[in-house]
Amino acid sequence: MKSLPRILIIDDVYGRAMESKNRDRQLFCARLGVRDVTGGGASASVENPVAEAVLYSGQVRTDRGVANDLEGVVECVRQGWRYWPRWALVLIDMHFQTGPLDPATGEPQGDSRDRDPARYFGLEIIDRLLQDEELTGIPMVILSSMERQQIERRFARRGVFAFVEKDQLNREGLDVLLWEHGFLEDDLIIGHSKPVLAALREARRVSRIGNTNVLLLGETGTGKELVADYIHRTSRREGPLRKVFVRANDDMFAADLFGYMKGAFTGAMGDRAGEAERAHEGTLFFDEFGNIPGGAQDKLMRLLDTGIRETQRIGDSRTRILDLQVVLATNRFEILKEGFRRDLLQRANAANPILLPPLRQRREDIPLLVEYFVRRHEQRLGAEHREISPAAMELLQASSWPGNVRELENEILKAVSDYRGIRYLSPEHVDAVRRRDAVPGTATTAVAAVAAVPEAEADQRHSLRVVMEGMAGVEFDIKSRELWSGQLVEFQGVYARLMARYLQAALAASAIASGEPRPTTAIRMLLGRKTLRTSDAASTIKRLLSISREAIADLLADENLHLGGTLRWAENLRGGAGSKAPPKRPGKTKE
Amino acid sequence: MTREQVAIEDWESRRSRFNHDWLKNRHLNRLDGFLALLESPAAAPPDLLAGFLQHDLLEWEAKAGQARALLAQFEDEMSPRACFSQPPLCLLPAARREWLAHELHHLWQRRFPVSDWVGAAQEALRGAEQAYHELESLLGSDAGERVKRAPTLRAEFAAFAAACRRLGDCVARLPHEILIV
Repeated sequence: MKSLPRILIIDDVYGRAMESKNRDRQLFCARLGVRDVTGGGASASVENPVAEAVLYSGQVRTDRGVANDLEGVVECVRQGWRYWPRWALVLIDMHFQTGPLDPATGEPQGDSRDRDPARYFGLEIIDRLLQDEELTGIPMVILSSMERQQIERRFARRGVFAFVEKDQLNREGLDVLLWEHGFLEDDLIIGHSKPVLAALREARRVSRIGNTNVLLLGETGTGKELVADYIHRTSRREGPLRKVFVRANDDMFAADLFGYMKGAFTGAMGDRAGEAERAHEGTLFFDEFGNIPGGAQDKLMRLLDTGIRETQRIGDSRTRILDLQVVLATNRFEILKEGFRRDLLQRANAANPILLPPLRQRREDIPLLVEYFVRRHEQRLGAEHREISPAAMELLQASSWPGNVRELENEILKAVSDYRGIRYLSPEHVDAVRRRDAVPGTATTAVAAVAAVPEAEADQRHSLRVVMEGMAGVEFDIKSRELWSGQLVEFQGVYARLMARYLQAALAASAIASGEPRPTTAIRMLLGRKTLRTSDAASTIKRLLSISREAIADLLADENLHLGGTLRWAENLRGGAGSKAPPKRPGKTKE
Repeated sequence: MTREQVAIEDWESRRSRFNHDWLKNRHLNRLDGFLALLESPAAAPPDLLAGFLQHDLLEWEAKAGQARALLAQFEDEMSPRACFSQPPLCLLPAARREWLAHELHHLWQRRFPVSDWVGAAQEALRGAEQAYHELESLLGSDAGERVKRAPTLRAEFAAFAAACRRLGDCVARLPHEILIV
């Protein structure tokens, strides 16, 4: 079941942190038909909301009033782009008012520089987001009440999809923006990973054009037929969707596609319209387009001419002109390079294909797909309702799936069919996955690095999950303080050892690239930062290690890790003599 | 910064404060949001409706005065005549300066449809004021009554919003710099 799209609105007025008093924000949400999920807000109830919205001011309070917070904005965008629910659209205001607070209104008085189009904070945000590789492809729209002509040329170069005047945007307008530019789920295609949502957006865009040819490229089992259904549905064309499955050396292909007249060939007992004619005013889908026989390619050229689409039944002298949207699909990526007519590829719009991602590139969708297929086949086979064990899910998620979604579905079908009476799906029930991945060479190159999960490891992951779920439920209730008495120190020790191990792993990872452990790189990886000063890395390590000396001992026990100057101070602590002295300033680590 | 730039910035920033900060960012947003709430008023938080009717809507009265002043000052501050009150043109002998300023202003008015621009904005302002007063007279002054009557006055609120939007467009269309003649 698809969820409401979630949008991020970066706007100083509507995002200001005084939700319950911020009528402007509540009325803005009512006007756009969005549900405010920022948190802490007294959101006005919105009937049939178009989207969920997080409103963020992009500013911080300082002792001198209000200042813009570029790094805060980037982090907010990053978090909502990395994890689900993912931003379907990011709307960015241009003018952000800064400076001391006006005592009468409680709002910043503004600075003359805020209004300078050359210095709009909104453009600064866009520039910064575009520089960040992780945020590539994030759909951005400018939402401003400033006059656009002053910044037209500047934002046009910045990969922004649209400029929307703030006072013109309403529920219908937002719906259109989401449809055209947003990352939207759909019930037809299970999944909400970035590659899937990007493919769906492309599909919607081409379907809007109408009389066009679309090429879908994807491995076997990636859902090309479903995407063709999606394109037809979103095109709102009046005619039907007709599907043609092209098999290699199919003698009847031309007859099926173009139709024939009585007596045109042996067995042509009467006149018959081809699939192309039947799809008039609708959509014609060719699966395995790469298999089209050479003899039919000339006639296909005429059908793929978007100027005038012509078709002729075999044995007929009349030409019929059709209004069609044509969707061609293939898993043969090599046709783009060799062995296929160039002019036919050009007509098939091969320069702009829609790429359907293989399952290994959208692992975050596997839990959704597993859940969907398990429920579907339980219902279909009248099997018991089962819980899916975390270990089984881990196993399924780590598999290479060379046959993509189709293979996953078959695996689930087998698991449900073979074990109809069980109520807990464990790794043993999807044993074929484990055996398949254990056979060398069956995993595709792209996922060769992803090993199948051994049973012991899967169990360990299950245990970890139990621990984490248990920890999440811990409440520090004052009534039970006696229970906690003396336990917190131990708790902290456990935490410190865990963090030390985590750091140790990051140091080992940093050594893969450079041949030796790099503390700054390691901390940068842990914090998910692109850049980090050595001194900041040293401070982070100090904070972690100062919690418990045992954790330091764990860290230093690994002699394979030749830690640099940043960690030497830790050894001093362990030595005892300097244990109470302030930590030595770490030596500068060159990285 | 020269006095000329100061004067231009003053009018520009006054326009920006009125048209961007208040009219488009606040007033129209509130009006449109309120109109959306009126589609199902029973589901809307009563304090939100009351807050709009008792505070936000009434801001128009003070802001309309600002808009009137802004439009009245346009010719004085955005005509090339304004350049003669600042260096270096203010250093010209008075007789020549006044004559030249007058001629340039006249030329500016002839070359550009200045009075049409300002006239259209003033007309839009009058339209918005009229729509506001009609709405206010129908709403009455009693706070409770205003909340009760508001859902029946959806058309009047929409008319007021449309008039305000016209005003915003007209004000935005006025030049952003002193046009050279």
